Amino acid sequence: MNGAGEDDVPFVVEVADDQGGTSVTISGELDLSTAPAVVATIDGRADASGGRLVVDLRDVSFMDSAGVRLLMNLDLRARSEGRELVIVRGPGPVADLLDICGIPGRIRTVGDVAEL
Amino acid sequence: MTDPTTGWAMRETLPAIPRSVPLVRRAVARLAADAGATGAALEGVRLAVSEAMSNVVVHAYRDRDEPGPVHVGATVTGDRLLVRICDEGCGMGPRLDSPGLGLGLPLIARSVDALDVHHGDAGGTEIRMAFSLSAFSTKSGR
Repeated sequence: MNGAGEDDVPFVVEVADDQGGTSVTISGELDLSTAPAVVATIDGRADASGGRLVVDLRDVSFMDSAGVRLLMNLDLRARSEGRELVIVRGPGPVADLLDICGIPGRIRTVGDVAEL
Repeated sequence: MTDPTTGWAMRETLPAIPRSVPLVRRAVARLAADAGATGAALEGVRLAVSEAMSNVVVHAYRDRDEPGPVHVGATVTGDRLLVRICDEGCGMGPRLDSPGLGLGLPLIARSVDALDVHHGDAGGTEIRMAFSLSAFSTKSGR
């Protein structure tokens, strides 16, 4: 089976530190096959600059419960480090999934980086 | 017993590993899109297939050292997409050490028109899902 297609956006995780904390920008499909790479990338930057942890989902083209579980785990971890996790959710099905699962009631969720 | 997917548009057997999740999700979504599914209907197919495949990968062969197979069938009949995903694993059951949040089946349930989960002929779990491909008659996801 050929899994490639026009929806097969390369999965990319970028981590950047700034004065406010750490930003993690995820692109592509976030599922059971890619969620571990997010954790590994963040772990690779274990210098934990402190401040808030921003996870930007605006370029995530698909997300399922593996992504929700990832966000819950990142939230638990951030809290244990005294940090705040903030999700930038963007529009569309990814935002719908966050709402369905009740994420905005647990984790601060904004629609755009301008709201940070 | 006769394979219920005989003559279906898509019939595949893959290893129950994480990499198989996006492969099956994209293949079934392509079938749905080719049949005219768009918007919320198409997103529902993607989500439900992804969750069903993830369940197999995470749960079905947890009692074995090596992952076993997952059998996937999909076909379009009229305005409906039928998907069958089954494994040869240890069967679905309560699991105190589950790595998930229990979100998978509820998310499947809100995406499908009909859902059937039972012990499969091969001894594992068989899940059958039916989707309406018309966006108007499919739950919007809210």
